[in-house]
Amino acid sequence: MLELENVHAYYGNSHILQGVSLAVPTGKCVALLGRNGAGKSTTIHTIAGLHKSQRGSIRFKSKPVESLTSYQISREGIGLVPQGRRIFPSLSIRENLTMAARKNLKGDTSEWDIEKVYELFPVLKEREKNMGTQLSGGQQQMLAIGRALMTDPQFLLMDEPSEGLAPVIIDQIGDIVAKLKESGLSILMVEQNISLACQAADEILIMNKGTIVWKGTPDELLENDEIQHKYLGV
Amino acid sequence: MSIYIVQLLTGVAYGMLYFMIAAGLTIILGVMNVVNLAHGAFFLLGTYFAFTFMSLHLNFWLALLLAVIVTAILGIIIEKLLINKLYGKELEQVLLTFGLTFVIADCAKWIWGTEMQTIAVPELLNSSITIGEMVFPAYRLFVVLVGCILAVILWYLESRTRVGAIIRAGVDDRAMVAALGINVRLVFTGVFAFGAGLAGLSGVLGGPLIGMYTGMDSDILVTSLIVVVIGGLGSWKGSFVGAILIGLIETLGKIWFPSLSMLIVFLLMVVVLMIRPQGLYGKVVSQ
Repeated sequence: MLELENVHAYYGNSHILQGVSLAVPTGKCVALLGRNGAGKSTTIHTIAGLHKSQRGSIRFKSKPVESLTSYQISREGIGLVPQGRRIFPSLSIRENLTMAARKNLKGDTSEWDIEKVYELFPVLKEREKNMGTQLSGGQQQMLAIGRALMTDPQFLLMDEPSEGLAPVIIDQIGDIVAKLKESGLSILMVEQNISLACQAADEILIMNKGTIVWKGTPDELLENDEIQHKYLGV
Repeated sequence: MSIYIVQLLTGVAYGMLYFMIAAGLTIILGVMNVVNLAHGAFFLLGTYFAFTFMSLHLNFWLALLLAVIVTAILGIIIEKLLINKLYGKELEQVLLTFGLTFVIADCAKWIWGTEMQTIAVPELLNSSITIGEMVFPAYRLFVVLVGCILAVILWYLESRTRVGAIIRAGVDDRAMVAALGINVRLVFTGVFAFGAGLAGLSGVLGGPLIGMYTGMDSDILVTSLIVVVIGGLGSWKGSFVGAILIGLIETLGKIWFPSLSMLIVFLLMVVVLMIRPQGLYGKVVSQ
């Protein structure tokens, strides 16, 4: 569904992505692990069009998207759950969701609407009049996921969904990711939390210094102490 | 006593004109991060366009409508052609919009001359309302009414519509709005045109009060920048309060301390900035 081939990206003079190639098959969840500064978030930003790649190709449903702007990429069907949630503080919870709502432009029936998001996250409905930032960290994460779902994506980019959350909430996030996958979404997730990544993902990629250095199943990673130690500092 | 009450109305009426122009300025600033120094020029063009339409024997109301529309269209052209290229480049924006004020002012001189003109008060409102000893010109009451209606419309658009939510979200986090599939550039063009139209509206309505003269664009720009600073950057509610304050202080200042009225306005700005550096309704920016 999503394919990156030899993608290079820079911040100023720093060569952050040094030829990233990866693929996320339809209906699968792929987790991207690695230390801070390995280029994980830049990979997400580059796919979402928030950062421009200098070289390489990004194809979504076989269509090149690397030269599209971020709103066009979103309209192709890629939803973003960003690092730090980036909830709009001036908007109520309901508005945070409705502002992102979109009639499906491709013509097929709309998969996600506000009722379905509320069904998935009942707590958001209970508090819909509250401002977005009055929620707890876990609820904000649900709101950020719900907001991305309102754009009716086929693909979700999740940037560190577990960041700053208590372990019991992280388990919930894992359950949510499993539900989203069941609904047919394909997911690329950046994580620091190995257990969440291994619980949620079908495939694990490890990034180091701007390239993918290891690829395998969650079980293979959990058995491989050397890789964990070398690239993840476990 | 009654003279002061009548002057209060005048002050509020001027305040409403400042509100209409400052609201556009502050929304453009908040959403697009552009200090549009050409905003005074839209005010001037609004007045001059209305003047031209009226000299073509259109009535005031039609001239008002057309002038606002033409000013807004001009806003679209300027945003698409020029400002569009300079998002995120503050210094270049300041130079561009400042340069535009000269270009537009000179074009206005070339087309309409430098003679001072006025727009006649529309017949419907060319009367006054007498309460006891006090005589209120109907046109000024009308301007106050339009300002209040505009405030209600802005409130509704901002807090009750999806476009309003998108615009507020854009002030919070522009890149995230784009990542949710919203064409932020299109929003910018719309906001800029809306702001330009409001400045044009202010110019037309100000015609019968202020008249039209060379240099009115920079006069009004300075005042509306003060209103924006006092009210808080990006907050039209702040502009509403700030504009009425400035209108009142300027008008009453002219009665009590004629030579100091502009100084008092600046003093107010200094005091507000000392007590609330973010302005009356401004948010503390933490980044």
